[in-house]
Amino acid sequence: MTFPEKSSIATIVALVAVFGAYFALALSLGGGGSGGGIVHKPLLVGAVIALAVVMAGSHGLLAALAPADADAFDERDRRIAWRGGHVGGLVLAVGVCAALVLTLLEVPYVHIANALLLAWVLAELADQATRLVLYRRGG
Amino acid sequence: MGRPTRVTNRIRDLRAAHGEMTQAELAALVGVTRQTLNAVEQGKYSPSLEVAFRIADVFGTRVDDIFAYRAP
Repeated sequence: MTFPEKSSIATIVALVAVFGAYFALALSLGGGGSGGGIVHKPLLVGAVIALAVVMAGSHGLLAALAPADADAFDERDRRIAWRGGHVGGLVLAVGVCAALVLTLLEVPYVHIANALLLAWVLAELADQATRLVLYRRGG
Repeated sequence: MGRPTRVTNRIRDLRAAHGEMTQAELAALVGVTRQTLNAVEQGKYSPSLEVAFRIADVFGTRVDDIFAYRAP
């Protein structure tokens, strides 16, 4: 398995773990009260920091286990990354449209912010999952 | 098993004819990863023209002696 494949798996695991916990906690905390303010600010900041720590730690570990592979990145890797980014971009576009619909419906902006965050997480998951499929099936 | 491309190649035969050159050795000479060379050899990935010319250069032959296009 190549370093980019391991990197994709590590990214998917980190995103699911960190933002799975974030959204579970955010839902349990409720929708921001009557003013619709962002009441989950410490939770969001904590999730971003946790994601950065998990990503840096996992990629540092992967690079330490196979240092030669960590630098190996060629035209196929670039093409697969581009195609993954394309799929992720489509998912993000759909998510942004959904957030715009929520805006038109005048829902509290904490929900709109969370919808945009969810769109970004799903886009990143789609990007990484596409890369894994292309590495396995050819691309 | 991956989805095959329409480009076939003789890289495996040429490696064997050049002293059983390994994929890793050829990949290093061409400047791609071993995994990419393996994908090319198995017909799962069509390389760029530049990589195809570099492979041909390593074996001292022409690109169309190595790669062929299988029409649909």
